Amino acid sequence: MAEKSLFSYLFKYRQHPLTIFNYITRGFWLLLIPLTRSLIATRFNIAQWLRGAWLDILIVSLIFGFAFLRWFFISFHIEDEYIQTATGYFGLLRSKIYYNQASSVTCSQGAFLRLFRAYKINIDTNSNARFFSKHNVTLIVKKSEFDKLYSIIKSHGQGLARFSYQPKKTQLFIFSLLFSSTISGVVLIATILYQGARIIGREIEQQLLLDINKQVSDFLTVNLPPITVAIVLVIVVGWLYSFLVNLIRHWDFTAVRQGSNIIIQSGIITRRINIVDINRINFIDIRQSFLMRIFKICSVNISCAGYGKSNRQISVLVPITTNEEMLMSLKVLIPKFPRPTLTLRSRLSYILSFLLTPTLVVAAIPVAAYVISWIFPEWESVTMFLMVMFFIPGFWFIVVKFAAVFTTGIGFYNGYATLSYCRFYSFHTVVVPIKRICIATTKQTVAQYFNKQCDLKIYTNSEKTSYHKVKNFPLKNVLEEFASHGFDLS
Amino acid sequence: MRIYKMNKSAKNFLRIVMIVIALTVTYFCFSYLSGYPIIMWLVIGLFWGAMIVYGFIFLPIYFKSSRYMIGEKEIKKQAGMLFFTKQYIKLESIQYVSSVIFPLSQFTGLNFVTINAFGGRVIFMFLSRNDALEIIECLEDYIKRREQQK
Repeated sequence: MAEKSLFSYLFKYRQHPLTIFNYITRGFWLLLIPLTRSLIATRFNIAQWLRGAWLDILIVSLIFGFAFLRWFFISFHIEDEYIQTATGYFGLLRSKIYYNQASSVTCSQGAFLRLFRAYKINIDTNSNARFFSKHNVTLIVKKSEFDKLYSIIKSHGQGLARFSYQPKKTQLFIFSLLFSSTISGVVLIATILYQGARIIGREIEQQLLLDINKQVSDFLTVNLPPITVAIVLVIVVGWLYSFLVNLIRHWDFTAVRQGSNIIIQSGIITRRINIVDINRINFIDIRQSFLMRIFKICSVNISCAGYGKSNRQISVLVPITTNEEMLMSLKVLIPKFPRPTLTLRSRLSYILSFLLTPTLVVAAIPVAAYVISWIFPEWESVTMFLMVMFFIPGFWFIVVKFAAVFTTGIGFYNGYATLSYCRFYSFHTVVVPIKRICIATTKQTVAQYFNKQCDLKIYTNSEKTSYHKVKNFPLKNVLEEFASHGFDLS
Repeated sequence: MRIYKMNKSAKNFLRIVMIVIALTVTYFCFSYLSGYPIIMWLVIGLFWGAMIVYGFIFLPIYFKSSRYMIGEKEIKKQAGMLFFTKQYIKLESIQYVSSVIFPLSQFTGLNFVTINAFGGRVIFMFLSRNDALEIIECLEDYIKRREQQK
């Protein structure tokens, strides 16, 4: 009986014991290697081992002890209306979050947590978490507690009609293909190569690169400099890694609306369930690349506190679909948001302000290549290769900005504002409730001042500073449009 | 609507800082670059040129064109040097106010008030100390009243 009450005291209202390992610093495991080695060296003579490695053992015990105390002092109670948590040092920071105040609840179970039947839960509200860059509440809980919390939150829409959206597998494949971030993958692969060179030695790495270069040259029947092969290899492998991660994360994607909740589920290895409150969505963002725009397909993201906040997660609502299907899906999932409507468009006569920057960037490429070749003549072949490599995205940038002249615009309809603009290579159509616009800014260059034009910068409610820059409109029209919706920008 | 302007003593203080930087650069150029007279005069010329352009052309324009307005329902900021911007923020969007008031700021004008909204922020720069304190008090009073009404 006493054992049962002790067990209950220790584990009830506390996180899964696995959390203790989560609280231990990452480098902790490295300390165990010399300790284990010395234990084997003493042929498991504990007394001798303790005498020899007492300081290391003490440090490891302290680290483990602190992690245990941190786990011990953090507690939580799941009630029908709210969740109460005691976090921080000695559990002194007590918070009570009502479920109807939560903007999103994210539950995830990775492969490791699945082994121990544990779930990670993140709860976020619209409180400005500027000083708490992570989630408002993060807990690793047992299955029974996860089931309880999930059923309470899900029950808020019970009895109401269910509307669901599930993209096809081919659509998810295309989505992962289009939205893979090459940069993050490249950073990872470059780090692996750099650290690999430190471990195995630079000579072996160079030999490996030369071998790969030979294979590539034989295959392509052209002779490429080794550095070129290395750059291309890092970019291709980095992109491939990012693509696979994206595909695994968004596989089996489903979005179901019931009442005011949208339940979004996705992922194979780590299974994620996001519950988003429709009334707390700050804005929707319909994203398209230039090719997507031509083929009339798009992806819809939402901004809601907590959703898409975790590392490498995209806050997607409709991964990829045609423009027509997108409107139908939005009507089903977020019926309050109207279809994007533009009332004020940018004009063809302002084309120069759209094309000036990309043209200057492209013009600077051969100049930079010439200067580098002049300073480092031995790098000429690499410089020429890089110049061509930069020319392609540069030229594409001009084409995209040219298209942006015809797509840029703003509109107000039924309490919502639509902002259509192009940022770098990506076209955005943002629909935001006017009450969620926190700052409106007009900006004029000297030329715009005399032409009576202006750029707009609209800040919307968001956890981090988030703005939408829409370029080149007649100042008078902008002032009139905004004044009629309560923003006196004059 | 209350209108606040940038403090003129801040303009003079910034000019003094610019002159000190230009003098320091000149000293180091004479000390270390005297062997390369072309580069030395180029660097000195660049710094003094930038000091004159910013200190005596752009800075007066910036200080003259900038103003901050606090009304019953909104805050407006107007500023510009090469680019002219007008910002509008609804009072109801404000979450909290933070400030930086330097020691001796009554002489230097280094008083800054940051108005934080959920998703953006507006910074009032180079205010007089009294203006900065008045703005902070006014906005905090508004936030307090708004919370009480809730």
